[in-house]
Amino acid sequence: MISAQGLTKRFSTRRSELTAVDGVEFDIPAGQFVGYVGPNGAGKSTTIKMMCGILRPTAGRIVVDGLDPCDDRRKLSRRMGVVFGQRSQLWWDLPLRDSFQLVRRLYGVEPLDFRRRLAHLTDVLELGPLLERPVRALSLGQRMRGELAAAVLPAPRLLFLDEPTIGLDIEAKAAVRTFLAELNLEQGTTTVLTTHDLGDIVQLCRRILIIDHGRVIYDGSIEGLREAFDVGRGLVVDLFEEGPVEVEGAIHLRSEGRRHWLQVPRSQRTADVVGKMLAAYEVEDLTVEEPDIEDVVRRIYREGGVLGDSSSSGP
Amino acid sequence: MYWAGFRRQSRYVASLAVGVAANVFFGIIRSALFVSLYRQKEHVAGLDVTAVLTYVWVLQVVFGVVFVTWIWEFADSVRSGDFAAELVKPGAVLGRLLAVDLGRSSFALATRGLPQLAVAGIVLDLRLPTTPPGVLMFALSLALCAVAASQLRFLFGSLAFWTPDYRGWWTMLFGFLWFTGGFLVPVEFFPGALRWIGEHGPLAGLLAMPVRVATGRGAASALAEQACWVVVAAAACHSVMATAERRMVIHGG
Amino acid sequence: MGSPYGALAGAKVRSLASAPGLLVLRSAGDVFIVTMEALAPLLLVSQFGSIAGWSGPEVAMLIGVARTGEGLALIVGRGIDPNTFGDTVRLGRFDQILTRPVSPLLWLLTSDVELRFVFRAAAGAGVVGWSAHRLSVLSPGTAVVLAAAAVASALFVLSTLVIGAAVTFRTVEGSDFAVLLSNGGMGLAAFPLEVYSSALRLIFTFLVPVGLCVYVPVLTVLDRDGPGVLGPGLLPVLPVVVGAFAGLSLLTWRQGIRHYESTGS
Repeated sequence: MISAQGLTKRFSTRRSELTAVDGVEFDIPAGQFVGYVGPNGAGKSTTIKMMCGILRPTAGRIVVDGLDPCDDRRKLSRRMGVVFGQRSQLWWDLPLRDSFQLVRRLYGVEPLDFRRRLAHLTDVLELGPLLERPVRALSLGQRMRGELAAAVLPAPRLLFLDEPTIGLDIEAKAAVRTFLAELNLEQGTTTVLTTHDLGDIVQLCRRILIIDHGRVIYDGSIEGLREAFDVGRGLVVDLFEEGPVEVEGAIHLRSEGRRHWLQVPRSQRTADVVGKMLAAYEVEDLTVEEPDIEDVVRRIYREGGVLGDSSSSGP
Repeated sequence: MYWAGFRRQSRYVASLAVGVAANVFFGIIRSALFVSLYRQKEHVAGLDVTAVLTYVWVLQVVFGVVFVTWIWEFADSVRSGDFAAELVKPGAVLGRLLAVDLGRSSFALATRGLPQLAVAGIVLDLRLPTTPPGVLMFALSLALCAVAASQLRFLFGSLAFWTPDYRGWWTMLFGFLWFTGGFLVPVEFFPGALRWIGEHGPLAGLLAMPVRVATGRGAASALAEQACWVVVAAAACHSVMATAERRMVIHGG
Repeated sequence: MGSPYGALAGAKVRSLASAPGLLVLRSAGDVFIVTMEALAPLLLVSQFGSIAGWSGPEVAMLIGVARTGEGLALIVGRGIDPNTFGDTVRLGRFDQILTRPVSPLLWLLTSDVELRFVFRAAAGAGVVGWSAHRLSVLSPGTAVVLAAAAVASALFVLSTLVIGAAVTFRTVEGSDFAVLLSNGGMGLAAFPLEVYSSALRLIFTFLVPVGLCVYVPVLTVLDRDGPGVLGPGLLPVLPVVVGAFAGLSLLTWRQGIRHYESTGS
């Protein structure tokens, strides 16, 4: 479905040249749910833009659904849905229903299909009470559900999501994730998800592509990632008194006064470690941290790129 | 870093150049119009072609002082609530506001307006003051014009305290101001009583008076009248500001 | 599949209808300004007898045609307004437009419809109608010519806006120049071209075709000749030159998009 070969993008200003994407190669088969992650400035949005036809590659090739995204942009856009987490694609002052009607007109959806799909989406995303309200009056979570519906109404073969769960509460995140997973499963929509939220990735993506400094440094499954880098959780402990901290099963990272940072590897049960900590020390406060994708990437980068395992074929 | 600064200034210069080009262009076409008109009749309404050409080029200068690029800043900041922060700072709010505004328009005057006028004066036959007292009076007149413009902008902008549609009212008032201030046609050409109002009314200090001072037609009395109107306008601004402050305190801005 | 552009414009109109107060005020303001502008030549003629041999109503007709065209163009031109287009590009909104299955230019023109300029166009048309009546030249034939002039002027202004937007892709300041072209052109065309030097006349008739759009049709309606080669006989040239100008603007727009594709925002 999406195939990149030696994909490169260089930006040149009068003084310097920046290589945002450097010889990226991947092949995404139809129907796969891919997470495309990396720190800010890594080249994520540049790659996505090249896939959408917004930017033209400096070198290499990108083929999306058999088309050149730049030359056949309008043709491709008919088969493509895009959701930006921070920017709305809906019509701000008008009722949500009107936005859907406009999408229908824009993409040329047959009235019968439109009615059927809208009914289904309204049901699944619980849009009923929202349809008559202007988009500006919706909460972030409600608006995001509307955006998703608008993006998939034309039944696109391809879906690009840029931070769709940003700023959402737990419930809304769960709703969005469930919806996306089902869409991928039932419709076979090839989905590319860009996010900083590791929870999204873990729940939705079978395959994850990590990009840093313009290069793909990991291309494989979540499990492979975990196994390869022993991504564990962080534990931040504040004690009542100063003094060293040592707990079985946890790795001591650093200390500052009464605060200690520890790491609990995947092989350990965090709850056990916490229990031992509480039993052995007078703990004033304790926080469990999920590793940010940034930490994972930094780690991978530090240890040199590992190109992942081969369990990345198929949805 | 030097080159970054240099380049940033060059972009500023580029937009400045286009702005100047626009002013010069309009100056040229209006000059052409009046030259053509005065070929038909040598003296009209007490003005000859040189006086009217002077009017055209002083107009171009004054335009940049009255209709400035930052004209919406004050009103928008009132609307958005940012202005409330100003009221908390110590000192006279109005004075500060007008001082800053005046500083900016003076800069525009000095860097764009006056050089333009100087070049026009060299290329064309204009009636500009050449004696030291004459030049001083003209400078004073332009200064009073800038003050009057700041006051006018404040008064128009203060509409924002009372209505969200201030931009709408401004569009209406703009047409009126533009015409009656003599920016379309010199006020001396107005018929009957309208001419008197144009020459001595509150808007005269913006354009009509500076032109009179430049061409030496009763410069002293023109300056005196300008000063009077500035004082009156200052009182108006003061009372508007006081009312607005009271309102903001009561309604919470 | 019906055209989506009508739907886009309709959406914008409905969203505008939610703030009628501002609309009324600004429209009234525009009407007021156009009326003032039309009064200016009358005032000048009362003092000077004529403007280069043209009477007050005759010059008012020029102003009316120019403003009608400008008003028509700005109804759809808001989306590519040089003052705001820079922000549209910078804030990433243009990227969003590119992901839609529509021509980005048509999207920009239809999704930011500004109703208030309908009143500017109406005021301009009112001035034209009044002056035509005053001069007793109102007839089906002249009405057609004047309408064509208004449309051509609109196309002219729109083309300068498109050029301005296209240049904005490369440099933000460049669009000021396009504004100068349209405002300057319209300002110049508001008075009979006899007033200007022959160089200025030629530039603003054939290169920046505002003279062809406003002056030549009015000459035709008034059945008079202009200086030099300018006269009613030039009328057939109007669609060709304005078409070429519009074509040029589309070319610069295409170039602008290509530039955007290679450098992004």
